[in-house]
Order: sequence, then C-alpha cells, then structure tokens
Amino acid sequence: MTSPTPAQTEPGSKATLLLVTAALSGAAVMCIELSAVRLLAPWFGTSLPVWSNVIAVVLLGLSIGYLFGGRASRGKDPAKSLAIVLGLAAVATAWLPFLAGPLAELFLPAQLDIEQASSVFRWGSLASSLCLFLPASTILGCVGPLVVELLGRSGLGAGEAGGRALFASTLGSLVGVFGTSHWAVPELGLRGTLLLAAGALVLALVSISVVRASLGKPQVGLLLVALLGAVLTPASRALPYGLTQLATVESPYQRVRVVEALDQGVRFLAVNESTNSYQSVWQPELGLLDGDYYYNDFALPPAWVAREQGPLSTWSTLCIGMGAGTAKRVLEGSLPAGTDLAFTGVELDPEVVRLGALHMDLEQGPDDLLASDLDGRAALRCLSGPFDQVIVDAYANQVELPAHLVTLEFFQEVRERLAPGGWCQVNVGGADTRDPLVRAVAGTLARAMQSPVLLLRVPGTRNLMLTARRDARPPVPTEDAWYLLPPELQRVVRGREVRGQWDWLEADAPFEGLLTDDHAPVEALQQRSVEHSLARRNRTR
Amino acid sequence: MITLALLASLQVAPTDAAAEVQAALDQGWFGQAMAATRGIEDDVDRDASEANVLYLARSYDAALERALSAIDGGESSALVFSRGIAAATWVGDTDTGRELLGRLELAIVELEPAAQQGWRDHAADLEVYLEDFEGRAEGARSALDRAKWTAGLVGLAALGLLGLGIRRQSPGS
Repeated sequence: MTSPTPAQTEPGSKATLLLVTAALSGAAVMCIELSAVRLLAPWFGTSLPVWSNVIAVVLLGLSIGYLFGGRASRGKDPAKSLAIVLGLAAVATAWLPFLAGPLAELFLPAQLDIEQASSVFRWGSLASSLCLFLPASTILGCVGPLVVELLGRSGLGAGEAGGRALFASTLGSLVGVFGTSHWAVPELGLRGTLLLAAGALVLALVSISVVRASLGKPQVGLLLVALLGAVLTPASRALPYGLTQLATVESPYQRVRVVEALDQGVRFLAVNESTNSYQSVWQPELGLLDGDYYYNDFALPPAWVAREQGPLSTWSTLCIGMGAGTAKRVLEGSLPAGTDLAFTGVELDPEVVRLGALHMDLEQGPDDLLASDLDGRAALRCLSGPFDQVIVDAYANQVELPAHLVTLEFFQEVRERLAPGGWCQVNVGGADTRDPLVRAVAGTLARAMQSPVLLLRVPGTRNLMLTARRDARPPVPTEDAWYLLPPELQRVVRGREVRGQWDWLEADAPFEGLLTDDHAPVEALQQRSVEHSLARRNRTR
Repeated sequence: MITLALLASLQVAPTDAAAEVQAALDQGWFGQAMAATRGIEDDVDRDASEANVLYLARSYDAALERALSAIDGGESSALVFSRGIAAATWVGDTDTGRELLGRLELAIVELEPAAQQGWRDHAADLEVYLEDFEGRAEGARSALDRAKWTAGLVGLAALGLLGLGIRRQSPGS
C-alpha cells in the first residue's frame, strides 16, 4: 500500500461507519451479481454460459475497481473519493432495470424463433453483461481500497485495516447472497431488489458524509440521477398485441406470468422467455387441447391400454414437471369412460402451482398428490408407485433439460416405479428425430427401460415425445394398434405416421451420448441441437 | 393457402393411384395416402405426390426433400413448387425457398390465363412468409455481429483499463 498523505485522523465511531460502508457495498455487489442473471433471463435464459458471462464480467469489473480504488486512495481526500464512488455506484445500480431491456433487445431482437435466438444467447449475454454490469462492478470495486485507506488513516495498521474491511465486506456479501435470493427477489421483484441495493449504497454514502461532515453538490446530483433511474424503470415488459396479463410474479426460480389470448380464451403460463414458449396451457374445457400441443400425447397410453385390455378402473400418472397442471386436465378429460385418474404431480416452483390454482383450475382431487418446491429426482425417490404412466416434462430456463432428469440412473429409477407394461413419456425439444440431443435422451431412455423407444414429432412445434414401456413395446404407426383409438384421439395421431415424423430406437441400438449421473453434457448437446437445426437451413442445392 | 380452385386449375387428369391418394387425404389418413403414392408409376410424379402428402402431414423437411427430388427429376407443376417453398420456409432454408419462388413464377406463366391470377396471389403470400423469415434471419445475424463487436470492444477496453491500472500501480512507474 502507498504511504498515506498525513491528513485527518478519523475517530473510532467513524471507523465503524466505514465498516458499515464496506458491508453495504459488499451486499450490493452480491445483490447485483445474483440479480444480473435474472435480469438477463427474459432474453438469454439462465444457463451455465450466461452465469459464467455474468460472473466473469463482475470479477473483471471488481479487479479493475480494486486497482483504480487503490490509485484513488493515494489522493488528499479519499473520503470525498469514496463518497463520489458510492454515488456513482448507486446510479449505476438504480439504472440497471431501466437499461436492461433496451440493451438486451439490441442483442436479441424480438420475434426470432428458438434456433435463431439460440445462436445469439452466448455472445448476446456477454455483450449485455459487459455493458450493464461492468460499470457498476468496477465502481463498487473501488470501495474496498478506499475504506482500507481511510481505516489506515484512522490509526489502524495496514493488516488490521485490510482485515477489518474484508471482514465487513464479506459479511455484507453473505447477507447480500441470502437476502437477495431468499427474500428480496421473491418479495420485491428484480426492480425492487436493485433499487434496494442502490438504496443501500445511498445509505453508505450518507455514512461517509457523516465521516466527512458534509454532503457535497456532486453527491446530491448523483442521488438525483439515481432517483431518476428508479422512477423511469418500467415494472414489467409490454406484452405482444392480443395477449392480456393475468398475473406476474418473481418466484425463487424465475419470472412467472399467466397471460390470456384475448380472441381464444386460452391461457398460457410462461417463464422468463421472450421466445414464444410456454410451460402450461389452459382452456376452459377438460380434455384434449385444441391445436398442436404435446400434452395431447399424454392421453394416448390409457386409450391404447383400454383398447388392449378392456375398461380400466383407475389410471395412475406421475408427472415430473407438472407446471400448472395441463397434463392433469388433459388426462382428466380424455380418460376412457369409467376410469378414475390418480394423479401425482411434482413441480419445483411453488409459484407455478399457486398461479395454476388461481388461474388454470389446478385442483387436488381425493386420489391426487400435488407436490411443489420439490425437485423431480428427489421426489421420485420418495414415491414408490407403481404408476401406469410417468411423464417427464421438466425444463429449466425455458428450453433446457435438467441434466439430472435425463440420465440412465434417473430413467432406471423411473422404471422401478412403473407397473409392468407402464409407460414413460419424455418431452424433449429438438429439430427432428435425428437431433443429437433427442437421440442421446432417447438412447439413454431405451437403455434404462431395456425396451425400444418411439420418437414422435409434434407437428408444427419443436417438441418430440419419447415413449417407452416397461417390459413392453409402444405401438408404432406401421401397426394396427396405433390406430385403435377413440375418434377424438384419432386427430392426435393422424399425420404423424408419415416419414420424418417418427422413428424407433431399439434398446440395444448404438447411439452417441449415453447420459449418466457422472457425465451428462446436456448443455453441449443442446448447443449441437441448435447447430443441427441451423445446418438444415440454407443447404446448398 | 391453396384452394380447390387453384388445384383444379392445374388440370391434372387423376390416375387411379392419384385418386386413391386424394381419397385418403380427404379422410385425413396420411399414412394410407403415402402408401397409395407407391401406386404412381412415374418416379417424378410419385415424388411430387409424396411431397404433397408429407407437406399436408406437416413433415416439412421430408416434404422439402421429396419436392426437390421431384423438381430435379423435371417436375415443374406450380403445386410442387408451392409445397417446396412453404416447406423450405418452415425449415428455414430460405435460399431454396427463394429459388423455388422464381421457378413458381415461371410455372405460373405456363398456366391457363384464367388460373394465373389465383396462383399469383398465392405466390405473393408465399413471398410474404419467405420475406418475414428472411427478415428475422437477417435480424439474428445482425444481432450476433453486434453482440460480438460490442463484447470485443468493451472487453478490450476493460482489459486496457486493467493494464493501465497495473502499470500505474507498478513501483517506479
């Protein structure tokens, strides 16, 4: 450390205020870092590359800030520098929610389809992170060295001053981590959380003004600029024309909203996204959904079984990734007459279930078990079954399959809970039946179930339904059994028997990318899936 | 959307197999329709018919493949070009879609004058879809370039600042 200019000596109580400042700035850093990913999530998701970009940018900013803070601490009045730094940090933080939307849309325009958008996610999130979070983290990085300098000038030795400042800022960071993820984001939303962080920095600025015994004009100006950012920030994004928003919440996991298509009366529960995907669909009537929805495929197994074995008294389904209960409503309205549904649904996000109950008629019947705030894998271990049908419809961050829910070990656990002849259906996003991600999940499922897997595209969508049975084979479009369905279900299978719409993978067929708990490179496979989709485009003729 | 009037304007005399394909399509049995195409003796006609069935079954990449096979074999009906353009747009193969659009316009000129306007309107609709997709693809490309340039420049500036800071902190500098 450079030798300080002999100047004023701060009294002991002022040293305490300096430590409070260090703690508040430490809390603000973690608050920004954790909110940063959520702030970008509506555009870029919250995948590992996005997290890596955000963390790298914050670390880069902090390292630059440490250097320049150290440089600034050599000045005559480090308390004044600290006050300015805190004011600037408050401004940079308060404006984040306002700037995030326009900046992200610069790098990811609206109306791109999922393949087009996916190609931009990595670079777009990096560019957005650099523009949004580098200034704030750089400025906040300056705080530590200035606090250490001021503590040193108050009479503490270099080691003790550094130790106390690190203690306070790390403790503040700890509070920032828990406070942000467990309280602030769910209770206040992202805008409120970042404004709270800016408020903490303003409080630190006031503390420093006590140390300096003045609040200069520059600091007052900065406070006004920060306030302007807070006022200008919209509470939520505008919806596309034709949709009305019924509810929106920041859950512990994601931004969740329920929207209704005005002309159709259909409701969608969407998370984060700006890429036209949804997590649940509701229409007033129970049963099959109007249109091309993969949920309708869940109605096929009980219908096939009823044709094969005669009337069923009950049909037990476990749905991992229940969302707001679309699968339940589809099954309830489409089971063969006289068959009761015993539905077990597991959903990680409790807000999704709450909104499902409020806006999408999700109800727990006498034979049902609806569990929320539970990971699908953990829940599976607590359930003994046997189930006639296990649906795996779990997604994270809009389009990503959670790695631990597509591994060999997971599907083996599913198999153990299936009744003999029971069905496992897995919803996977992919371009076609040759998609590398789809093949890897299908191959892994086939190995675990020790039986062949039917890969079925959902026309007009990017979904494929993988279907396998325990100790049995699902019907395929070349067999008569495929068509043995009630008239209302015929529309679900029609058109899917032609080339390109389905494929078949034997249990012992070679495939690339067996997914295990030890090695499940799902993100790399998803990247290859996007590349596979893009490669189909603009083929040279 | 292709209307019955547009299809009728092609004035293709149906063979037994083609009639069988159409009958299956009318019932919504695409698998049977595909099977019926095997009865069409001419390879090119069969490819064109399969392209139509696959398109209606919304197996767009397979439909495009069959349509291109038919076109490469010499098929020049407006219907196969139309199916090819729509399938190519869906798959995102805009270059192929654009090429087929040019050939559709040439095929329209060969039709009876009374049928031309309907097909021209249809071609205009297809062009709108194609342009919409091309616009979005261009938007994605520009956004990617913008993101790369911004990340590169801001990242370099940050590293420059870091270097500057290190230099200033060095003893004796």
